[in-house]
Amino acid sequence: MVDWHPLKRWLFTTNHKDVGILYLFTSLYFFVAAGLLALTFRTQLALPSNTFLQPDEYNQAVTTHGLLMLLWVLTPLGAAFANYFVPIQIGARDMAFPRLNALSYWVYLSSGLLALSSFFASGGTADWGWTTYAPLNTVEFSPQVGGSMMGLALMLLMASSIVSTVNFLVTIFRLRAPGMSLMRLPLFTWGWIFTSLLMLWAFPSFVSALSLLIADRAFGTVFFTSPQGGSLLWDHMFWFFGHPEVYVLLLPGFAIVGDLFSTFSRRPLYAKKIIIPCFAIASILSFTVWAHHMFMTGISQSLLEAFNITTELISIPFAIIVLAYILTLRGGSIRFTTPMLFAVGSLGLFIIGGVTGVFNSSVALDTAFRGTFWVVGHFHYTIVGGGLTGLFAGLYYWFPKITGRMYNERLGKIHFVIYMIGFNLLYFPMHLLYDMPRRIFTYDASTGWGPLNLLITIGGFTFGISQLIMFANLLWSARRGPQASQDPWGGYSLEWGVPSPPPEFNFPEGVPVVSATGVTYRPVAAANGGHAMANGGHAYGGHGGESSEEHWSRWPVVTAAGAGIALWGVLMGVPALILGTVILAVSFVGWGYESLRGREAIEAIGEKWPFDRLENLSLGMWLFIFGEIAFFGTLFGAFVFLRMNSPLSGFAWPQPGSVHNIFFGGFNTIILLTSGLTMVFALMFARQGSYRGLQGSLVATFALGAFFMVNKAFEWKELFASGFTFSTNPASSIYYVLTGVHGAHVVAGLTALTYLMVKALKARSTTEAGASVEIFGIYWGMVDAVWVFLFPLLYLL
Amino acid sequence: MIDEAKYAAVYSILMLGLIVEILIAIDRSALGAFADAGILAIAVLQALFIFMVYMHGRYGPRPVAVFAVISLLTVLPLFIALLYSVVMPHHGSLP
Repeated sequence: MVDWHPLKRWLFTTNHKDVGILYLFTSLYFFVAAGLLALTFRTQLALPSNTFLQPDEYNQAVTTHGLLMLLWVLTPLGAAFANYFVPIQIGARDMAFPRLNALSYWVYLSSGLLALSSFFASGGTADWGWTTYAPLNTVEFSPQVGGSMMGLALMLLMASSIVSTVNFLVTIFRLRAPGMSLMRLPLFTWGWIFTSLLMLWAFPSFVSALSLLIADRAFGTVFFTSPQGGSLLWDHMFWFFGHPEVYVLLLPGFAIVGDLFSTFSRRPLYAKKIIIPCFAIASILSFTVWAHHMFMTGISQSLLEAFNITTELISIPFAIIVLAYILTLRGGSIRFTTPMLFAVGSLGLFIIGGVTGVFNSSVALDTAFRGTFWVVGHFHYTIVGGGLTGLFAGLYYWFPKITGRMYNERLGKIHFVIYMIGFNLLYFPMHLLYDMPRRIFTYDASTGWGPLNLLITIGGFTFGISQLIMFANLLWSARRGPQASQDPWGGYSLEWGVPSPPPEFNFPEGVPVVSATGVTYRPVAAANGGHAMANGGHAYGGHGGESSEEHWSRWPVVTAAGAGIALWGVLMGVPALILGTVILAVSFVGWGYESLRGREAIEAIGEKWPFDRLENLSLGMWLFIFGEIAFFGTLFGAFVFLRMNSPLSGFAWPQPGSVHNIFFGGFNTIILLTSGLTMVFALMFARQGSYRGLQGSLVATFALGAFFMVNKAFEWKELFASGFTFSTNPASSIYYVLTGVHGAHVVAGLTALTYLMVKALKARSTTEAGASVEIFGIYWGMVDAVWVFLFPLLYLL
Repeated sequence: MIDEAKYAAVYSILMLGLIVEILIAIDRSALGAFADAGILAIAVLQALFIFMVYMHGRYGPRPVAVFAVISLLTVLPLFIALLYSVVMPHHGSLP
């Protein structure tokens, strides 16, 4: 008899620690894949006039390496630790939405497999570089279907990240243990708060850019192929995401370094009250520096000066943090264990990356260095040196907690030494190649770049081999290493107060209560004001009669598989598209059924500031809407750009009323706004206890929303018949994309509304249905609010 | 009853705003160069009413409002840079 239990556990788990381990293994798998690609193209560059790779193969390898490392390795590796340790560090038993957490992971895996599978598509995968610059990303220059597949994979990944972000923020803001004020959070959790906020506001802008790109590639719109949009529009939209993304990659590892400096010097973190505002300032400034990637695009002198200043400003908070870290060590009893060595190494490498970054902030120097290997060296020192090395420090630091066993310290130190030698051989000589263009697949011997390139490649292989030592050490130690104690390092955060590895619900002794003097534990009923917990009175810690199977759900993996297959089918064939869509539909029904049984309620029993008066789901919906503001805001920005650029580039934007019927648009606006009124009436009736009013209002909202969509479809049909198609001009392209994505939101809302109507019919009380109605009402209000801008922009101006 | 009146009042304001927007768009001469700004201002007010009354429900809006404003401010630099990229003269050819 085969025991399927372990397989089911990893497929269906919603436990945050299991999900963290899944993230860990998957991100390391993609790390190996991205590393092998790097060694491949470094082999190509090792010798002048080398023919190891063809130009297209080289471009595809570089593109995929960059995208994998940034989006499928570094961010998820941070997410692995965040999944495992943030709930424990804040004193929670799990994430706020465990099933959504599992969904984020499976969608992440699905997107990664989609990205890798694009290699096998006809013509190979994307070859436009990780920055996906226009017009290289257009069908004219990258006709291969693998490019579109990579675009869809990126969108899927962004969806996973945004869902995960919402989940983390709700968890940290609403599920903190009693006494766990925000200032008592460990630096890693603080780092993850800012990482999440950056993802919440930056990633949607990338989704916007990808929406326009995929519209160009799939439907023939003209955003990046017309002079009104073109490469400058892509640059702005991409880098508005791309630069905050740098801090998404950096902050988790950087925060780990701070915690490790404190732990391994046996000193409290120096000036923590200054470090946290510095994290905040750096995060805010990260949204104001992106155009330093565009100094050579021809943008106005005033923009160059502004972004020069903001880029130099952002070095100030990091300089303060670095000083605070170093001062933490002063007078401390420092132990140079492997995690501490990696932490020190990370800070040293980051300083080099930071200093070379200041060079790049100067318009004059950037003009010389842009597009050369100097820049490649700089950003690898920052992201790999500061980010990945910090995360590896975390991997060694938390390995005993995760596995319950110690790694081999000697092998860890050997890994560190070879890692640092390899790293510096690999990336430092790149600064000396400041005259070598970074986007060439080969070069002539007469350039004199050969010896340094050979050295870099040797460094690359050394760096790669050093990782094998780590994998061997950790894999062997996980099974055969000596038992780890509860707190082998003398750590101060809550994870070191629970057994290694932690039990299923983290705190076997009860609810942790944090105070200035330490942590105590008290029974759940006392901490919860004597009220039973929402999940049926299960104990807070330990198994408490609760089996892990009770928190299994098959739907996250099924949904992710459906999404991946459907998107694959969009490009590769209708049967796969149909199959994926059917799987998705079945999974949605499954989610609804499970949710009706209320399986994932996690009670908030401790600190909740500043969101004391919001329920978890309400806060989650609001956070999602904050992301939507960034999504639609970026699309509106694209509209403004196209509109303002049109007269300057010889295109006359259609006059109001010349293409769109103002009165028809106005009529449809009345329909949608009326549905907003019926939606708030639904909430009102739910509160008043009126079943009939509730059901009637929901049905009216559904009917009005559906009528709005029918009108929209009719309008599209009429416009197409009149020759106003996707590709007619920038005005038509932006009209269809804006109304299309808004329509997709309406359809998603109608789907959720169907579920709500079923729930309202089945609910035992209107109060029970009211909570869901209220959350949906927030969403529907957002749909209305977006339309009150779309109508004037598209019909009246 | 108070809720019903409040929601109906906001609905009336939204409808009124819509009518005024369309009237301005049809006859721009009344507001001249400010017609477009007037229409956008009405849209902003409509969105504000939806946010304040239709969306925040029975919960305190303050932290939500703060985060919503931060969300809007986040995309503001992009708007400014996109506008500047178009309306300001480009810095010309590169060395």
